[in-house]
Amino acid sequence: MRNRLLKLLVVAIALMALVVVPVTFAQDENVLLYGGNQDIDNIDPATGENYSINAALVSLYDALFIVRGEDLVPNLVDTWEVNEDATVWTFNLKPNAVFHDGSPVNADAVVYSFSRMMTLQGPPTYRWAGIADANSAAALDADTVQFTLLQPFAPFLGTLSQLYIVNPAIVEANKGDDFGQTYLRTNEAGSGPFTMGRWEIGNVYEFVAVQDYWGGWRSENHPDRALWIIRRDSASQVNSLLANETHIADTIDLIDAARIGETPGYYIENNGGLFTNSLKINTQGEYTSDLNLRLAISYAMNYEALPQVLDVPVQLMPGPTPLGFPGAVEGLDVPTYDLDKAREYLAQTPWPQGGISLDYVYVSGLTFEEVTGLVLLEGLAEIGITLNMTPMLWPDMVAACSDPATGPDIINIFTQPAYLDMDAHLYNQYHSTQWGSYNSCNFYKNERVDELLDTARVTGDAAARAELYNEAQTLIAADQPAVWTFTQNSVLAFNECVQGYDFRPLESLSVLFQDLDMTNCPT
Amino acid sequence: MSIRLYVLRRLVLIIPLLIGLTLLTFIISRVLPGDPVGLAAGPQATAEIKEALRREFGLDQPLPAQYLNYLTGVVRGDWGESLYSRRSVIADISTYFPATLELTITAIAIAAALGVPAGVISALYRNKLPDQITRVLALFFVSFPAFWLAMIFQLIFGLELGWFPVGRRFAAIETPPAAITGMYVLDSLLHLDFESMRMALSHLFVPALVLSFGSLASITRITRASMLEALDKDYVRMERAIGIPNRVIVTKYVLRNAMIATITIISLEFGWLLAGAVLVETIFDFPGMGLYAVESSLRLDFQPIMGITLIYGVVFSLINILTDVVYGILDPRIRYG
Repeated sequence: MRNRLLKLLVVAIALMALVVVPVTFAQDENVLLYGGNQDIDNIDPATGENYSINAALVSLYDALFIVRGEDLVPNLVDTWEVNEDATVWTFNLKPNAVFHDGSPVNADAVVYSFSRMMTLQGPPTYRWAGIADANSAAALDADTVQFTLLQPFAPFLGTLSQLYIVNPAIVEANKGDDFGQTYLRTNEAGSGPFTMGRWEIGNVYEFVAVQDYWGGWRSENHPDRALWIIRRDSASQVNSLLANETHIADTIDLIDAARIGETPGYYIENNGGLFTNSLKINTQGEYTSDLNLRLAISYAMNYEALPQVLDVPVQLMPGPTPLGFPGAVEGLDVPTYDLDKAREYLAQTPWPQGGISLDYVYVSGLTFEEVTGLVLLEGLAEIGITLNMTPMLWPDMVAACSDPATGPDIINIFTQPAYLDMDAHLYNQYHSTQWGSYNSCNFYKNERVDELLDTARVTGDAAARAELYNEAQTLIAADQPAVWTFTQNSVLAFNECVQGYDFRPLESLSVLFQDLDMTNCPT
Repeated sequence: MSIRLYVLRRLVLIIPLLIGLTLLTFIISRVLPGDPVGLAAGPQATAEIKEALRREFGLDQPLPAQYLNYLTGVVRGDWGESLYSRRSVIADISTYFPATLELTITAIAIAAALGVPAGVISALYRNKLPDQITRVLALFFVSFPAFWLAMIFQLIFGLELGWFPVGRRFAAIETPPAAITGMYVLDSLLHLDFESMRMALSHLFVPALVLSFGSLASITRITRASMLEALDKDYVRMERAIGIPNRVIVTKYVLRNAMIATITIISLEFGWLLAGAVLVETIFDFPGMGLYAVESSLRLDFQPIMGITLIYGVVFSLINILTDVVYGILDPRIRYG
């Protein structure tokens, strides 16, 4: 029996040795390995949108404009003009743009793509809700497209980085009974710098460079292939980067960032973005409809403690708008941590000694949202208010925000503007028509603010718009419908063999694969 | 009743069980608070966009109609679409299930291959050093949470020693073997592609080993207990008295009798591992059913939740039938009825 066991042991060790040695393959091309935190669910430009989908769409398709760094840069567009009241927008397209099958990206394709998008009414179309419809775009000639909007909309240009142009011939050939949705969910019909390679659902997605891309490449050493490898767990994100199984890792926390930053051969990109956290206060709530109570809550928040206790890098908010956002008003009179002032404002409420209890709702399991609540809890306890920490599943939070009656007293919400314009930041959070969405879970209503936001939307003159937004921000700050806490930094970890990353505040986690430069990357 | 008839009857009985299961899951998923449509449509979706999505997925219909539509779809092979990714549930399951099945089969194979001999040795050396060591190790494995072991093993074998990949099913840069079963090791074997098989095994080994530990401990303890009980039987004393070698007594008689309890625990553990691989799958980024189930649940994505429940229901039922059949093979006295 002992001999038999020994034999078994020898066989087991021999098998292990066969398996243990990792298999390596020499590569004669630049293969970028990107560790992405999220799946790429759906690459139909008309129905898909989130950071991972956007990374895919911007690689596979071209839009009229592209966000590079902090700028909105013309992409398919050569020149453009707009009429005085911002209702008619005319774009001349670059004549050399071609789809992957060689057919031209012309005005008809733009009209087709916009019409398809507006017909399907998928999530990305909220940008143009009430602004345009399926018939708003028209081809004036092969290279000229004109949008006639239903009402003036000054920030229209900013929305066009999400208007990805599909190849009408491919969509028509695969139209089915759902306008090509089934096909485009997992197939591309674009003109972008990459085409699709392997597409293993829930696992890995490959982008293959179009070597003679019509728009050209920034670097000779651009990725020939880019693989989006799903890495959901943060520890495995870091370990796979350090084991050279990936070259870029997204969603890194502070501790891991420090560890990677100290490791030779790697570097960290830590940038303040527009991913904005605020504790929305239900302005229609039983207690929280009282402005003085909202001010008391806001003065009881120890803002300065947040960067020290959170495990994610953050920058404190100077008011309703993040610092650096174009048009943000500086020097607003917003609360700081001041318990005396908190007590002063509380004294002006029907509950001068506190003794009330408020719910604080946050996403179950998200430590930094819980910690933010605990900081507020500590401050409120000092002024006699009890904060009930209420973790919830995200779908339940979304449902709770559908109505002021079910909206929590205070809820932790992250927002991210969809385009680099104050309209994208303020309208969905503070315009009273937006009630029902979690972005507007403060159920804020100020008729003057509504008027200002509506007017700014239809004002073409930049200076006049800026004034309108300045006043709106000042009024919002005075009404305190939220405790404005912080913007969360975008932290990406890189192997030094990858250079050329340009932080995009608007797409803080989406890397433009096409702009990267690779030298001797391990695979 | 013949075994064939028995299996057929049990298979037929699965149908009402599955109908009950789908009904229960349907009711639970619909009565839970939450707005999956609002979530899928995005934060800025207008009421029209949400309504269009609700219509598209039939969520505007009365609940009985929704359930009937679902059932007829299941029979036709259409298990619906994810509200979030809009992918077909059956296609998703056929992608994710083989990964989890491969992981679970490997884990249970490791657990059984190590646990049964360990249990036997432990019983044969009762209260002696090998028994003590085995019992301590069993206690160790059952006490440490799988996610902790997973992280430690990933660090040691993946990052520090570099013996095994940090995670995933296959090197991202390489194309996995063409799917026949969806299980990479088996598929590469069927294609006679031994390089791919080695790569698949190198990715599979550490997650499967970590996943096996809990079951390994249970199998060891149950085998030990069953062996001790069997060793104490009169027929063993009689066999020893008539001079049958101890090796033959143990392997031919005692182990066979002790295996009934072991088979039960192996089949139960297999079911639990199948449903409980989520933590290991998450840490090793092993794209299987566990991850799919958790992501769908967090989003209240109805159709995948229903599909996952259904497939697990089928698998559990089949495992139970298989276990009953194996009982009969091990102990011919067992009658099917």
